[in-house]
Amino acid sequence: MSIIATKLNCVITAALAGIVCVFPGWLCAEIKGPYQADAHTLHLYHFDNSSTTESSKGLVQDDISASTAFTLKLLDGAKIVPSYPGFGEALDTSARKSSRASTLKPLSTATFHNKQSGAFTCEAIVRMDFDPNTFSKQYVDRMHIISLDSQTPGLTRSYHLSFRSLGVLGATAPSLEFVKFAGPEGGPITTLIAVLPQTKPHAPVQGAWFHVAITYNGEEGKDGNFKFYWTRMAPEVTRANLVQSATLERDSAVQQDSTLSIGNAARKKAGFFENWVGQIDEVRISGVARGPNDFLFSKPNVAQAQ
Amino acid sequence: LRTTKVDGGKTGMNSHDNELPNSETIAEVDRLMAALDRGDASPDEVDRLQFLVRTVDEARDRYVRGMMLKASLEWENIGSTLVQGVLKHDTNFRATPKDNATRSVLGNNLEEGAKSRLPIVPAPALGDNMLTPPDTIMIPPADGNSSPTSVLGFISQGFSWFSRPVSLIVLILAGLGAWGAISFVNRVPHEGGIQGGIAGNQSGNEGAEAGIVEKIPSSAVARVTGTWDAIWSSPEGSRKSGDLLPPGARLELTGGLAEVTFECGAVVILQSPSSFVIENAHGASLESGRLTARVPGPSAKFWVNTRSMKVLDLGTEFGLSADSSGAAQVRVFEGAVEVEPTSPAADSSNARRLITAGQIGRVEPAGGFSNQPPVAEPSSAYVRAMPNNFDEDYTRTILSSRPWGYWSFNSVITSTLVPDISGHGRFGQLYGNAMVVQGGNILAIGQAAAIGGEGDSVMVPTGSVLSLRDDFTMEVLFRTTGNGGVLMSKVPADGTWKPGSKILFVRGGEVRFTPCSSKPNPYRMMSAKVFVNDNQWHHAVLTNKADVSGNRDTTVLYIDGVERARRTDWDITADSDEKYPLRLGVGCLNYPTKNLRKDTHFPNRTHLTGHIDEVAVFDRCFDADEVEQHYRAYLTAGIARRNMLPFGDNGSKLQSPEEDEEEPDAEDITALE
Repeated sequence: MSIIATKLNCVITAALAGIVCVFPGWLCAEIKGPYQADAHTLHLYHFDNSSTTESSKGLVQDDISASTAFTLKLLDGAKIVPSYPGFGEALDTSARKSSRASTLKPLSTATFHNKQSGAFTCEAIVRMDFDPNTFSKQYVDRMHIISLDSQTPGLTRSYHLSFRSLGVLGATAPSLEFVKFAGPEGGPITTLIAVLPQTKPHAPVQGAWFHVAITYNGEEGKDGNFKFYWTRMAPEVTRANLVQSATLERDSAVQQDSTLSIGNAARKKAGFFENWVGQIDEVRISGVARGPNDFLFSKPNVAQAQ
Repeated sequence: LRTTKVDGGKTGMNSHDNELPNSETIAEVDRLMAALDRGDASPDEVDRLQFLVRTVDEARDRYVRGMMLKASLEWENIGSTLVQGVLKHDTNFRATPKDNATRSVLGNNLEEGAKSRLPIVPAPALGDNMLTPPDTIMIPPADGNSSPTSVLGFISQGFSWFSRPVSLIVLILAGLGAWGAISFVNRVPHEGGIQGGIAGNQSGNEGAEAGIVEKIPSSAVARVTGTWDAIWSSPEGSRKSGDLLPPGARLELTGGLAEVTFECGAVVILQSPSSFVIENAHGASLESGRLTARVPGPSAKFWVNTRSMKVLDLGTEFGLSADSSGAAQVRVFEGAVEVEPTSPAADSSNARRLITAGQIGRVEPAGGFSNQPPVAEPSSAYVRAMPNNFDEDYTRTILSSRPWGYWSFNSVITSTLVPDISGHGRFGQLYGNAMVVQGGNILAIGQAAAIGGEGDSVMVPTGSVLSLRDDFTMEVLFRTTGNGGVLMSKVPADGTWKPGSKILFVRGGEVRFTPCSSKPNPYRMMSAKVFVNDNQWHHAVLTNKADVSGNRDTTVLYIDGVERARRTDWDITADSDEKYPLRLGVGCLNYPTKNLRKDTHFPNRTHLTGHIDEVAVFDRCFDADEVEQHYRAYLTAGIARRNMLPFGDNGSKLQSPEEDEEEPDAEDITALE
């Protein structure tokens, strides 16, 4: 057998396989998905239920069969819209500052990490309908992607993953922000920031879709136990793009009073809602730190000639 | 409700209606500053300088540059004596690469200084009952006189706080400061400002490691006055802004640009790759590479040698390139130069030639003027001005708003005095462990607090010159690494909470402002509902528009360019704060009541844990547009990116992806056959 591929011009022809893939400059790959729940999947939201009876109630089902599944409700103008090609529908939270899809009951029985190790992965695909590279008075707040927060202060809060555009809260470049409020043994509050790439293909730009993920392997205090991924959704991408490794000194913990909110902070008492201006889809929370090859991006299509 | 605001300077004239030609103004500023430095300036001359600095942009710029340069020179002449005496370095401090740079310069002196540092005498105005914890830093207050005085005047005011022996040492050392050197190094370095600071000269790392701070050669004839993305051929040969250059100093630039200013006034911009040797105060050798030289006039007698020619400048601007073969080419932009072939092969037919503006002269390795057309090169091949420095751009933005006081922390005088670069001379004094972080030019506060040093804090009080009883604006860049703390305050020195007190602080992850007003009550507070306790740099501005005829001041708190809180139901300017010092990084050193710390209207700790930079106070109220303008300047400046510590909040270590030890995926390697 021989392997046929070229980086000069990705024209792979494998006659026997009947594959013809043309994409200049890159190895051929493809977006895998939508996800199917696997053994590590704790929660999975496809937002593909506009055709179901639940849509009339504004409900979004958790695509796991376990008893810890939590249904989301579309709130304050959040709506279902077409998603990235091949991914059906997505959540749109751009209508109002308070638009969101949130759980309606306490997360007392929910699981958001591996109970033994504390490991977890939070991920989604997102499309931004704002310019992240311009400081605009229109968008001056962080925008939440996935938030586990509570109405009460301090350590009853859990964590959130959000996005800072240029100039938002001092960001000198578009950045991801992870804030861990509480752990199994309380504080401290920890903020981790990952500055996103400023060059193609992964530089955040308005109107484009990106995959975003944070992973934590549960090894408290070990260097690099926490990772940020930010990856342009494009067929030529072969693996998730690691943008920052960090260290989380203590495990996170999801408090019973927390609310899972997609596209906003579920923290009305704070006085500010901070909605994601755009679309979010394929939210998956796992009980393991997934690696760069464990996401939506496939290996190069290497044709094997016989 | 209050007295009418008094303009401390002359009125009715500003930079627009001052008709003095710039050159005359600058000359006058130089003369007045020199008189001040000699100590024989008359009161009228002091007033005149004050007036010029306040009203003429060019004069202010000249004054600031001169003052910063003087600060640098004084520091370098003083060496580490005062640093090791005044600063204490906590041995448990978790060092970062940047911190290590500081440590390496200070070397063992830091450790020794912790044991034998000079006594810190609190300012008399602060009162006997004020706590002066060993880990505080203060900036000396002025004497309450509303009339700003000269550079030396302020320094001498500051000295009055020192004990006599220390004052004597400082005065002697300050006297040694080579003010005259300004005549040849009258430019502020382009990158990072003057780098002397508390930590001294970064290039002295080797010596510092051995406990020896680099001695500045007395025979220096030039100075590096700017770099831009400079890469040097070796670590030993690396130069930075502010470095003094003796004869024989070699500059091997492999990347970026470097600017060198000679004692004669000539300014050379060296382009990489270049090999350049300082010969004396009037000349240098370009072994290879490219440069542009601007010379103030023929009296400078500036020359540059290459292997094949000598270029004598006759008062001009020219570009010069030399290649490894020995060929050299000069291009005159303005004025004229005299070119003389210097190769032994040169003969009488190759006598000197005058090259004037627009002409190119080329000498071949063989030693004669080339009969061939000069090598084509556009004028743009020569860099004739150093690229803008973002920090300086930000500084200009702040200065353009005419601050009452502006502490950029880009330099430190005599190790404890922080210059006020607004031109008003309102020096601050560092106390205790607060330090200006080398390379970052930021004020580090409460470093030891990260490991539990409760008393570790930074304080920057000033005199009672400005009473915040009318319109005012406070501006500060900050980064908190713990639970927040105090950013700025105007509180009685004895720590009591009296009417007129004001405190800007971080608590609960939010910036809050609490004034003490006798009307309607002393415990009102405003809070910016945005989380900032994230170890990231933030820009905070508090503005107040006084309601002179009533009791409804309008106070607005901006965080990162955005209005986050507003109150109009109070009268925060009803009471005088005239006698309260302005402090940075600390409020009440002791709380008036034990329970006050539990009150969310107040900070939950006396000090800040984190960093402060670019602090400015204005005696007028900014509108939202001006706040946004400043914030955009901050974003552009990239200040937030500099000196970023590799440790996140609460010890969360950040790594770059390159440091990740993840093995490459073998399947990503595509085999070809």
